[in-house]
Amino acid sequence: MWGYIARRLLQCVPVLIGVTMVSFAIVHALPGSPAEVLLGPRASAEQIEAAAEELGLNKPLPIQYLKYLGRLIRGDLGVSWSQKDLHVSKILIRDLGVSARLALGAMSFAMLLGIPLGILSARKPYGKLDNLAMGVSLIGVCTPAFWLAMLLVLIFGVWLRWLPISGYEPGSLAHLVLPSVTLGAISAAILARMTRASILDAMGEDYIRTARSRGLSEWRTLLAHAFPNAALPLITVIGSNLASLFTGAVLTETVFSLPGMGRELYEAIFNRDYNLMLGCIVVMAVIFVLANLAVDILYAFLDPRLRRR
Amino acid sequence: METAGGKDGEGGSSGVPSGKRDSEGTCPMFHGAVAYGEPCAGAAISPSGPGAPSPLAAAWRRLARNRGAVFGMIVICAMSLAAAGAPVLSPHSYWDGVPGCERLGPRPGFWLGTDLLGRDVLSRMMHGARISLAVGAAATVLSLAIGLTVGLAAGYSAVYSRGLLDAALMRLTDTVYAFPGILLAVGIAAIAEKPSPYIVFIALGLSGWPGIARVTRAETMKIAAAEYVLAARSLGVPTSRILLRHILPNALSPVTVMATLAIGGNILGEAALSFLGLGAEDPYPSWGGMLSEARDHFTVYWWMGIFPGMAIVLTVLAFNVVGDGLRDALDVKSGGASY
Repeated sequence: MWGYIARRLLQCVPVLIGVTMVSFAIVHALPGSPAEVLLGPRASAEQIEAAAEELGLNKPLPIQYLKYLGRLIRGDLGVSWSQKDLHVSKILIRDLGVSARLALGAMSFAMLLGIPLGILSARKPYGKLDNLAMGVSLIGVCTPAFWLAMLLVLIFGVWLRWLPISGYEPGSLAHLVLPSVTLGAISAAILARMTRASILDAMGEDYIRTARSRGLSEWRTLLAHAFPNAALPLITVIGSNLASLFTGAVLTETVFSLPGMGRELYEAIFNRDYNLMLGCIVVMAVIFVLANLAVDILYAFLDPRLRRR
Repeated sequence: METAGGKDGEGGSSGVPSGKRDSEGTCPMFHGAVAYGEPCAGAAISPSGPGAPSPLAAAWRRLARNRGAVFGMIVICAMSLAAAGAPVLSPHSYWDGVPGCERLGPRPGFWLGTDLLGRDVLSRMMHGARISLAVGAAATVLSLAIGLTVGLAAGYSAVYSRGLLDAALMRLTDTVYAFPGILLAVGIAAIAEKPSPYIVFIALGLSGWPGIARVTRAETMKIAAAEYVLAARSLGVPTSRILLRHILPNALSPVTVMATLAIGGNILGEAALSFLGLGAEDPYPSWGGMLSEARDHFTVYWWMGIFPGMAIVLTVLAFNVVGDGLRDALDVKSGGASY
């Protein structure tokens, strides 16, 4: 077990170095220098040149990369150029709180809707309810998040006036409802389909026949015998989905003006704020990779057959 | 994954494919496709003896019986037709607005309304379909080219050499996969001096291949251990020929399924990038771009946002049900459901 964990952790190192290399290359390939963006259109060529020199942008790219990597290993993400020289780590810790709340809200919504829907569907496969639920979840997977956001805002924000349209206030749950539903919709759809499929898988097993022959009710068989066995694949889906909800909320955060990591990154791209961009991507990738690793380890812990791979 | 249609003839069983792969007696082409034990007319169970339908024909018949997949194929054909014929078929110009007809709701003449500049929403959607479908398909082709190459090389080297190439390629795959969501595509698309559909296609293609590579690698490893590959190797058939003639055709079933689903995913990706302002620019319409224009006026001029969004959902849905149908018809056990 420990060997497995160590091997998987070791595999993450080249991946994370690769992520920094790719993102460093992309960040420096963006058109327009940060010095120009910082100083505005009226700056003279000399001013821009001096600013570029000061920011260290005139050194060869490999040198800049190694310097960045060296600072990164020591945990220093540098300062943001566009936000009054604030430390990137400070900005990201602030944003992480918002992103985490949003991800948790989205996952709660997805689990509360998706798992019961999947169980109800599996109760009578190809019944009316199943066809309806699976049809809706299929549409859910195909709906662009930003369009769903627009529809939700129109219905609940403008027509019914139940919920705020956008923005964020610390401590206000109401501001997180629509973004959570938007972000969690696809996960809910995936969870519903996965729950249904893995329960149906389990329903074909011998122990279900045994349970039925003992005269247990269908519901009891389903909930007490099939569902616990079907839950294992769900853990993987929930874990890896949570990681992508945490890090992949660029569109949702942009549409709802939530000050999370996704929007921070999007704005950093347009401000050519290299340190902030790289910091966002590195933190997101670390979360994403480690969360998926944690899911794999948890899975191996729960299913000993996988440890030998 | 079952869609509403695929249930005929199954008395109460769970609908989970119960076929077992028996590789004996099937021809090497698509040999996974023949051994599908779907309890239907019975023709599909028999191995391909003389007179039996070819595996591809059998798969096609299974697909044609799947109502969801047929619906999907009809939608895809209709959308492609509307896109291809847009210059001739569209009732108005997508470029010039009609003066005095700004912000009209749906009505005869302007069936889906007009936008802020008096341009017909239906005509713009038909022209937008050109960009959405072309970018979706082209990005998938690019992802396929990279993913198949990486997957074949990695899988084959994992079986027949010491696997260094495999380890290196898989870490590369993991690296691209470690960028969450459309992040990598956003980054690549932002490199362009000017936003355009071409950069969107490249960005989506370059970021969408890890799933295809992983599936191809897994299939390659399975097939590379088969006896006919061993036989070809012992006869001295060059590696490139083994990969292209013996392994690739047999790995195509799951890849076809993934590619179909990937087109839908790439259409969503194109819409997202255009929505963020990285895709086609006004006056050129794309569905995501139209939603972006509608965003600030959506609450009043709802038709500007409702119809392009419905077009996206319908098209992506069509590719997904066809992909699911193909998965059942070709009997692909694991499919890239997680990607």
